[in-house]
Amino acid sequence: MTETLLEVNDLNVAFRLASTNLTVSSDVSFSVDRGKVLGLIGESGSGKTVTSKAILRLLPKNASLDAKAIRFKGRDISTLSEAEFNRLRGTELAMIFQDPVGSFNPVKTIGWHFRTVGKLHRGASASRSEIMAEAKDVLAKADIADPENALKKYPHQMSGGMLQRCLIALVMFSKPSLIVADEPTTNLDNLVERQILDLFDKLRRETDASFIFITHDMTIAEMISDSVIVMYAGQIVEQGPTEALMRRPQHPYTQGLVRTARELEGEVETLTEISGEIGTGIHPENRCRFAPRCPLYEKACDHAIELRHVEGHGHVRCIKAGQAREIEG
Amino acid sequence: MKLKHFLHNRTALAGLTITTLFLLAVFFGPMLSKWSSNQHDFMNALQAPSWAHPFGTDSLGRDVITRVMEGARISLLISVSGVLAAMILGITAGLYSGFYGGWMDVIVMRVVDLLFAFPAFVLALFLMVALGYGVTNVALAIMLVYLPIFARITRNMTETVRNDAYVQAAQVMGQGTPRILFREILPNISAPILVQATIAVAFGIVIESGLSFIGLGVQPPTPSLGVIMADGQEYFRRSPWVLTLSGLSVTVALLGLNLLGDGLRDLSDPRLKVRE
Amino acid sequence: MSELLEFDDVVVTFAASAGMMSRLRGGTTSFNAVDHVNLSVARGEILGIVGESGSGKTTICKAALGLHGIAGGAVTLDGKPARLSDGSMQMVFQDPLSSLNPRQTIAEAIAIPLRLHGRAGRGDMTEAIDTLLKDVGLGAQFRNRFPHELSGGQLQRAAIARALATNPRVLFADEAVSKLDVSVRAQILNLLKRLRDSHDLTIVFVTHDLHVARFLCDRIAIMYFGKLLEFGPTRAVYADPKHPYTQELLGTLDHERKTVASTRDVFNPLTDDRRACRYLNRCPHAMAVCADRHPDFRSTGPGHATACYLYEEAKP
Repeated sequence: MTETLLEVNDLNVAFRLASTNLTVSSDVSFSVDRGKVLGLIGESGSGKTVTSKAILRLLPKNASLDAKAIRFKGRDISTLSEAEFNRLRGTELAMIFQDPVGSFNPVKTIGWHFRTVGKLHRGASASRSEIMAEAKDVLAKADIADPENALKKYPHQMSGGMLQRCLIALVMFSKPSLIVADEPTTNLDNLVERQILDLFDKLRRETDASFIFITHDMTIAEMISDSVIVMYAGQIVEQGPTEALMRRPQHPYTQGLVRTARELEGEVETLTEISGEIGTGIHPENRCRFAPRCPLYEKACDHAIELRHVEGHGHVRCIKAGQAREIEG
Repeated sequence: MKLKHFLHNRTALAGLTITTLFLLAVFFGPMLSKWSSNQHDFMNALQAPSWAHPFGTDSLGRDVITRVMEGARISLLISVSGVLAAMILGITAGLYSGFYGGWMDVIVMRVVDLLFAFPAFVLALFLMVALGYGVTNVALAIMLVYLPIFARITRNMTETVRNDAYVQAAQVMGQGTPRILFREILPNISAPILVQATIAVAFGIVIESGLSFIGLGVQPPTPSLGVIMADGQEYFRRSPWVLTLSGLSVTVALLGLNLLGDGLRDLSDPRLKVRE
Repeated sequence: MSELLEFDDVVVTFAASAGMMSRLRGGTTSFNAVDHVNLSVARGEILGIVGESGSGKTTICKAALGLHGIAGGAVTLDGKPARLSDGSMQMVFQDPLSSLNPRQTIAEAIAIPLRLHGRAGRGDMTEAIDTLLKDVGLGAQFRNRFPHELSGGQLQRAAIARALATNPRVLFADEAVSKLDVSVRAQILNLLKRLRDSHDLTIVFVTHDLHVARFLCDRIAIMYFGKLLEFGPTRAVYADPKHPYTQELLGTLDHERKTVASTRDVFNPLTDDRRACRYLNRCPHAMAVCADRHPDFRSTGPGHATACYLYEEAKP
């Protein structure tokens, strides 16, 4: 039985700068079911990180977010007080960042982190030996060879891959219902990346946790997610079930990304280019933001484009939605 | 650092204003004054401030404000020469030792540590005793006090950018080391150095004043802030104005330069860099 | 094909900043980041050097360019020791923003090498700069911009233009597209291929991205903790990888996840036996002889060689 764990309706995030309000993410709506993985695909300037941080209230002070609703397990969490939300974060909601180093206190051992989280979850009177036993157990599950030793180490004494595994163990230890992972394998070597992805899978199977997996890598997104959202310049441009979206992407941007991924997997002489690059200025409100780079651009695109539903596929923000064929791979 | 940013930063603006006024006063003031700094007038010695003599007169009847302005200029020039010399030598040493590391770095930094071990004034005093009094030696003393500071700042900053890709790119294309140090690296690390320079000039004035106060620096009757304060101290009971007002001038100079330095430091904070 | 660039038994040593404790435990304080590597690059080819972190792939490039000292062996260009000062070898870096001096305009950055190597004087400087910008697909409007005003792809193009200014014979590219947006990578990769033809370049492309390596490179060399393990034509190596490490690496491309990732330790340069085969810890086929001595290269196909005892001894 699929249960909707997280529901986001009409999320907008803006930053208050010296003279203006800069909207970095607008009109974002999606939902994540229990035990499912939502892939959030985007490049720099897409708004993907900002959107996920907004849900977890990890944005800086000059950020403002407004949403029609953000519902977690049926409750609207956007109206919770700071104290109430803090209780939710770290127990039910967790975030794994690209660089694990920032998630650990550099002057404390790994064991200290487990004890702190343990006390937070089970109360200050929780038995230390119980916590440590469970910590060792979960570190072993995360494929750490010598958990006893690892608990005594400091973050800087570990390699990037090992630290990321410790972080995942820590997350497993907290048993959250929703985990937001922001490019957790981008900095890692291929072999370590594969191990970490396997670990995420294990985590999901064991705890039935849901994931929002942020990445720019189409191949990884295809491999692990059940449904996908593609963001560009602060907006969702396409969203839907992974297989359908990857097989028959409807938005020219998604098509470009999928095509590049397929070409790099196959054998071609020249890669098909997505021309130009995302601009650095403020994006226009009343035309398609992808227009400057779009091979299908025409005059009709010069107005604000809505997300429209495509039968059997999902939502696409393009007037040509529903007309694209399969990408030859 | 753009001019607009600079003018919006209140600290920098205040510092710049005070310093500019100070500079205008010391460079143009003596010319505009109707008194000469050496004009004796025994009849009007040790007078309190008045319209004719805004800072009063000293023990020999000389107009104090004129003397202060000229003295401040002299103090400033001595300090600036010392600091400039410290910058030239210190920055060069810092660039080379930060870039090469190894034994060069070890030697330079140990010398720097040695100089740092002495409190500034003690170091200056030691040099004066060794070399004798006089204006050039005061500048030399100031140079010795600040050389290690510039060397260390430069060397630390050089170390941080030394492995940046653009430095490596410069090496790969075959640029010579001096060119890389002075044309590629130095412009990118200049902000903290400039901040330090303003502070150094400010305290250079203090060092000079101190040395002149105890008679080891500028010799009377040439005015310098320290000389004037020495004179004012002697006659403090009869007329507190000379010492107070000349001392206050030093304070104003320091305040202006320090605020300017603080402002420059705030502005060079990378967090405030706004994308154009 | 003539061999243009030769790595002849190159050794590069690193002093480990290991603390007291590991030294006391019997580890050593220095190790070979590049460990007796023999590799030749043919004129006009794009050679990929593929490996994970610690493989030495970046170090060997820096050594060739003089950015790092060589402790043994030599790097020669056309048979003669390569010299930095003549601009015959150039490099494009991973992070294009930090590879350009933030205080120089693009024009200034390109003018410096042009002037330094006498390739343009005051009269024809503007023209020379514009030509280079055009070669990399940038318009003249980028001349007076500063690095922070450019996007990632534009920056990398500018960096390539600057590298081309010395008319180099060999271009080293260290993860040149890794920090770029995915939608921009295709542009730069295509550009490099074009430039190889138009500028008679030989390119050494260092990366850990297996897809990119396959697209761009004619030949590929696999490195692991300082040792060269396998090299050969890209197509052949990808179709039929011989070395167990290469097989493991290429196995990560398998999306069906038929292979399970091993979690055994990788080689530890400070404590593990350096005479043994470097891949000993993780190798599923390890034999007794592997612990004695790191294997020599054996021929495993045309132009294809592998350093592994699994294959018949035959000098490549």
